Amino acid sequence: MGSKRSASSAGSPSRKSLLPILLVALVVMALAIGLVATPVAAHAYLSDSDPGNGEQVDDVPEEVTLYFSGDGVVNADVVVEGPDGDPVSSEPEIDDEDSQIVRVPIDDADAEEGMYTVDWEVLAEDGHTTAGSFFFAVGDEPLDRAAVLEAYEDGGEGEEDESIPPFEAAAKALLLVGVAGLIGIPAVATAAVGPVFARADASHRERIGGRIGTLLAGASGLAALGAIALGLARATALGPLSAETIVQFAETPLGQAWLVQVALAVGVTGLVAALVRGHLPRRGSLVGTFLGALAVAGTIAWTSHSATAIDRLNGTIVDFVHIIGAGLWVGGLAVLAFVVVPTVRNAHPDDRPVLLANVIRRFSILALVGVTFVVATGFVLASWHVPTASGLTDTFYGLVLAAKLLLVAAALALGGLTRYVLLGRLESDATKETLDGSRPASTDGGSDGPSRQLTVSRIARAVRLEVTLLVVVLVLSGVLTSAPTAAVAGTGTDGDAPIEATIEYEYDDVLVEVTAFPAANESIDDSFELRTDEPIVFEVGFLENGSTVESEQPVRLLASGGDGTEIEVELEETDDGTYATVQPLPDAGEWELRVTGAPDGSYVSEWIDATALPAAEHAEHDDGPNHDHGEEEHDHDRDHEPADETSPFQTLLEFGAVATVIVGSLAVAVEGLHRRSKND
Amino acid sequence: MDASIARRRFVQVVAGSSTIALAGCVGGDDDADDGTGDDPNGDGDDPNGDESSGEGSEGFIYAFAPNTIAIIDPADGEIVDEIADGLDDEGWGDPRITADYGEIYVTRESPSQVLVIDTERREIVDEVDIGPDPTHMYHPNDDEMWAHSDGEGTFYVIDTDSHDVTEIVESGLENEGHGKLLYHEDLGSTGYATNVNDPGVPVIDLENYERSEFIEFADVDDQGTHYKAYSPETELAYFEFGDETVVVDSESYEIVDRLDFAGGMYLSPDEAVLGVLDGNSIRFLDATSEESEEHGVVDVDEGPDALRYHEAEDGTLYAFTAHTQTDQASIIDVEDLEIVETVDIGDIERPEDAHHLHRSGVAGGGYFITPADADGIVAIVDMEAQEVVDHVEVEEGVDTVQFVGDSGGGYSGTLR
Repeated sequence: MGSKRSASSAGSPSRKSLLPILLVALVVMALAIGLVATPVAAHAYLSDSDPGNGEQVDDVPEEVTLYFSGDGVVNADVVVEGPDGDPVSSEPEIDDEDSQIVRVPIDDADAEEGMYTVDWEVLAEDGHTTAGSFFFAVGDEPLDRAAVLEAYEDGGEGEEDESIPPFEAAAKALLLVGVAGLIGIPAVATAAVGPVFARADASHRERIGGRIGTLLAGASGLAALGAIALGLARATALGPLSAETIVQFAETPLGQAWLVQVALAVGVTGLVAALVRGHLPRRGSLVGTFLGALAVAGTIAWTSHSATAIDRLNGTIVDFVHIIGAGLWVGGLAVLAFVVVPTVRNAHPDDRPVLLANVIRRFSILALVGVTFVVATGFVLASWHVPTASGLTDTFYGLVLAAKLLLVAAALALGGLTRYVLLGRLESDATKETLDGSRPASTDGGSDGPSRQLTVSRIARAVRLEVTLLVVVLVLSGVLTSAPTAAVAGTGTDGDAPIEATIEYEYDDVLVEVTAFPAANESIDDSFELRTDEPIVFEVGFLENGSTVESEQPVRLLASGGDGTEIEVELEETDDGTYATVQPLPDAGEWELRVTGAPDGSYVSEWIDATALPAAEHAEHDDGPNHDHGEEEHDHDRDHEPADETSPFQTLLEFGAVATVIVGSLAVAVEGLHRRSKND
Repeated sequence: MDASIARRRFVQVVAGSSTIALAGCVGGDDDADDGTGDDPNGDGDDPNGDESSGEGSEGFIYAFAPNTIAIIDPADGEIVDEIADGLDDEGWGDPRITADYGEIYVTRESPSQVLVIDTERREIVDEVDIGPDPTHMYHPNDDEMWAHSDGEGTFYVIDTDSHDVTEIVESGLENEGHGKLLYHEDLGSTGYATNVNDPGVPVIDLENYERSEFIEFADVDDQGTHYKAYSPETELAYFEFGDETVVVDSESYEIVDRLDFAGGMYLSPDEAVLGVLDGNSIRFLDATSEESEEHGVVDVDEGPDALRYHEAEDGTLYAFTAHTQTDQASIIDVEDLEIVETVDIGDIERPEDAHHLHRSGVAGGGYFITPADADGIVAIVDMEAQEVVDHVEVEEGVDTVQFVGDSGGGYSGTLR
């Protein structure tokens, strides 16, 4: 029974020192969550420009400046086309001090008046590409309606590609699975498995070492492969994959982070190879692997949505802790499933429940820490990237996240079943059979009651299923980190679909339709809600029995602002028989619009209330009229895109994060005390 | 905006078959009224003597300032009431009172509207949307006001009962340009429009609301027509065209003469004298002469404008003209062709970029009334005594006045 004694009493010194450290880590984490709970976006999204979208300027500007929110820009492809459609810009430049600002010099405009189109495509620090276009006009001439409509139909400022790059998502999934394994396997092997099997037979220890080595080899291979593939996938954003593209990508900050990542992953792979071949001391190799995995995780976190969009330090920390938590949980389960259970099956029947129970108990503390890490930081990440409840159901990111959460919940349930039901049953069966002396002799000379055997099998199945679920979760995480977050996907500043607002009036047989496009919202109570400094296409149609009626007098639009500003324009007849003009409202506030015309000789005059929302409410980038993007201002903006205020849903998620840390800390403490009392 | 005013939504449907009462044919107003206001009601009552029926405005002056419309009793030289609701830095065009003096219509620059003021209630009762840049307005018959949209070169015909725009009459050939309308009861349903962009005169069919003809003065594209007048005695119409005055036979539409001077034209109440503002001089023509013989010229030298007449009790015809270059008005003995008096009427603004200066003035109730926007006063001159009786402080920017009663205003000298 030496093995039994050794199994039950091993590792006490380690246990005593580990618990306070973990509790301190959890408390620090709770404090950190409170400090970093700020909403952010991800990817690089155009939040403003100078000249602004649709802005009418007197002269051709010397340069066009694009201000991005979310992630910084590592590569920009911006072309400004003049009124005749020819490019008039030279190479864009990313601001040295603020990578969210891109400047495009205009060098060949010949001071030509007309509409200028800006087509942009940028590679963000998170490795994702966004693109769009906007326009501005030079001179006093009213904008051409057709050109404006075409510009809006082309997407205005935002034509972001929100599709998921499959190759990149797959590479990221491989990397995450590999890194999770490289974190969790050495940790659990050292903290849980090693002490329990320290005094086991050498054959057991050797078998365990071999299995752990195999697991680590697989994990390191996945990590190295994923890292390399991820960089190659991201390099394609700069052009077709080639040596030149890779070199070009490697010169960007993102590419440099990738090089470090690949180097670390390959280094860890080498370390694991040395471990497997026995060239290095086992314990030292495990520690080295663990540290190397943390470094790789650090590079992942460094280039994550959170790090690039919110704050490099806070985002990196949260993402880093998230990965560590996942690693402890998933990697540990992998050890349990593929190392401990097979080894325990080959142990002496009397030792099996004790060995398994001891490993599970030790692992439970690490797993609880990991779960606390991953769930708490998960809440924080969700509060950043899914700021509203609707984002959970209305966006691809939200749906994937929801699926991931369901799988995590199922895995947690399985973990709870293993720890609190099956483990208890295993220990109870062992105690009962020992007390009544009824256990039959096993075929190998020991005692292995059918009940305990059944419980061990159930534990093995539950653990395997749990680790399978969590690997799927990691794959989904790869998809998530490659997708636009719900904070910006489809609902971001630049992703808004232009709204057409229409108000109708009936006059005898004539129906008068007044349309404003784009509007901030649908028309409410026969009033428009528009945006300032945005070229708005006003269209007036006179309909009689469904057919357009010609106006015998000019159709006019008078815009009367609250501060006395008066703008009166004559609408031009369009091909479809309506009358239209393009007219921005220069000032925010209340406006009265008057439309006059004479369909079939009947004089019509209609007053419409309109509210012009400040452009800042649209662009979320209040820069004032001079577009003075100071460093401080831009940083402020960076922290508050796209929402300025915390939503109730975000508050709930942040509360969940803190609650998770508190509950997790208590659970870890209780688990530690319970283990200590067991040993005592 | 005054919320009580239902301006926001209205539609006017053309009533093509409606019959228009011809100018002067319905109201029975005395076209020969001299506009001096001695007896504006024609009933021998003192215009200011009876205010027993409600508030009323008979015999009062409406002075239009940017933020207020002051109602002035010229006899007391006091403001008796003010209209300020809904007014904010307004720019005023022509006011015009209905033949029954019940409503004053006044053009507002922005938004381009005609405000309708009930003179009995002393309040704005309607706002009528019209075309852009309105300035002048005319009342060719009891039922209609014709407001000219300079931005469109059209007249917006407003029904004085419903306050609806019932017709839009295209006048100018180029669909824009500052314009006026010449009409007189003797002309029947024919009116003559002027437009600073047109080298001639569009003939307007007042009954069918259309431009029926165009009398071309010259084949040029850089001159237009502006001031106008009509002499019923000779049936000649006078039109300012560039630096000359073109005289047209209103029957044949033929050009019968071209006078080598031009400017604002003002017919005396007896329709015998036509005063023409020719720069710093005023030329008095014999309006009964087929040849437009000139009585003589009076040099005023100080930018005469707003010529109004008064026949004194001794039968002498005096002309009152407000200066645009000084703060004075001259009183001219038309027969002796000499200035007999100058009076202080306050000063006007003289913007540096102004093409020409203008100063309005009306006659009514025995007074010559002219605003001084720089001083913010309305000067009231007793025409018989030839002296200023009051400077009524209104508001800086007051630049338009309307007498409630027979003011004899208008360039033709007729009531309307």
